[in-house]
Amino acid sequence: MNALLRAEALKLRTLRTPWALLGLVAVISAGLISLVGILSGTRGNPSLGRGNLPDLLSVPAMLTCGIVLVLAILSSAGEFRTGTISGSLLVTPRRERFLAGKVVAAALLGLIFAVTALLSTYAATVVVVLARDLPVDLVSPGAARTVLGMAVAAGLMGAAGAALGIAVRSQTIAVVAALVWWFVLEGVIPGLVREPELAKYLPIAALGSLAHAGSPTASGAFGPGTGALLLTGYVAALVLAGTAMLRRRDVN
Amino acid sequence: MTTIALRGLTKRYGDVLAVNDLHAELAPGRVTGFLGPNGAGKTTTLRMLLGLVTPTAGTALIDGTPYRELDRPTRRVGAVLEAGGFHPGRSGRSSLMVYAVAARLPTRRVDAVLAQVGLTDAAHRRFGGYSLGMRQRLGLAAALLGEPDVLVLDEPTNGLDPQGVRWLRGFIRSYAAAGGTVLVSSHLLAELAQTVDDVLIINRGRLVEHASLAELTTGTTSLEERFLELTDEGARS
Repeated sequence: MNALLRAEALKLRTLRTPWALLGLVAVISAGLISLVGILSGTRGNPSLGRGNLPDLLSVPAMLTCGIVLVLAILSSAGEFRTGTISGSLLVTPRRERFLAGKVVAAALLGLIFAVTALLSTYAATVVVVLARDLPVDLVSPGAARTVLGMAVAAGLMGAAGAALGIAVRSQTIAVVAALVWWFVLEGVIPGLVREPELAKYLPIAALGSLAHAGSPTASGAFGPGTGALLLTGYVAALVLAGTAMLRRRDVN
Repeated sequence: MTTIALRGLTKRYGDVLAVNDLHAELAPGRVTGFLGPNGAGKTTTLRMLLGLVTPTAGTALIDGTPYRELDRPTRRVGAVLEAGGFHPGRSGRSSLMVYAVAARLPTRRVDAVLAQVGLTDAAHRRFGGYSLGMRQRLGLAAALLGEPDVLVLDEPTNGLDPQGVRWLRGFIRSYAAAGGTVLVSSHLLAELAQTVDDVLIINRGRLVEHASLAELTTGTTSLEERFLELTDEGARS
């Protein structure tokens, strides 16, 4: 498994897209925090207080998780688009092992993106707080929960993307399906089935609970622990589906 | 010394019987040409042998073991399946490094095989910028990474210039002379006639001939004439 992980890491390191997206996450994270800090207390925007560090750190959480999801899909479904799947399976013909390597590598990729986003966010927070003399505490117990929640959330999104890409094979279809679920279906399904309570059980709601673990739980949402369990269940189901599809599929 | 055995190998796609009850045994130290018209089932057969396509019935074995169950398969079998198969944005050397790392092969093998196929100077160029001939050479380099006993080559001369074809011919002959087993599919019958010891011909998924080149081309009959004769008979039946 160690060799497989190193090979998957090498695949990502030797392409431009992962580096470009990692840079994008760092820049956007810093930019969002700068904007929040600059606008704080102006034109009716709420002022930042002492305990807002966890909220600030989790500002880029969902965006980071979304980027990790898309990158993991592109990486795994890209094996089929470029034809590298044949070479990969010739080296690792036991398909469950191959998929396990891809899923774990994508989870670690998510972790790296989360750490990058957090470091960038924290650096920008320090600069803005000092520059504007804002009353935000730069050390807070809630921040550790945000860091942990965001790291786990991004890791799970990486795993989900890798499994989804292998199951669907088409980069376009997999990315569009994921985004349509995220931005459209998850919002309308509870209304369609007339079960508003269903909303908190859905995967992106669970992701939100986990990624904002250091902030107060939103009304009608699960706490981060339950969110983590739910999201793990969804990811496990995707990995099982991906494994089943890859095992029975011919690679022509 | 590794043998390849195909036992009742069959593949059905819906109503289409792509490969039908194929039996053959390939001996070590010999080059076997795998021939057949377009759509005869050659590529499907090779992919079944390599565990990429699951047979509907029968088995394909490398020294008695299916490819998917081989321990460290790249040390046993090297394959060239298509001129693509590498990420266009990754350099030739990085592409091979990925396979070497996954297969737990020493990374010095990457530079060795790049030199062997004459791609050292282009090693750091992106695969997307390679010519068809360079792509074939990189595919061959990947196949040779694990110093395997068996080579499976699907149309390896596609895109190669005459020097490349001659180099490949010499390479295949010396590989077999050292005890390697080679299975090579190609449409270039005149070229194959200079390279192979044995010939396996399929038509519409069925084996129509498995013989040595010498047996097949007795007297003045060329490989091309015999091939057309056999596949025309198959087409009429």
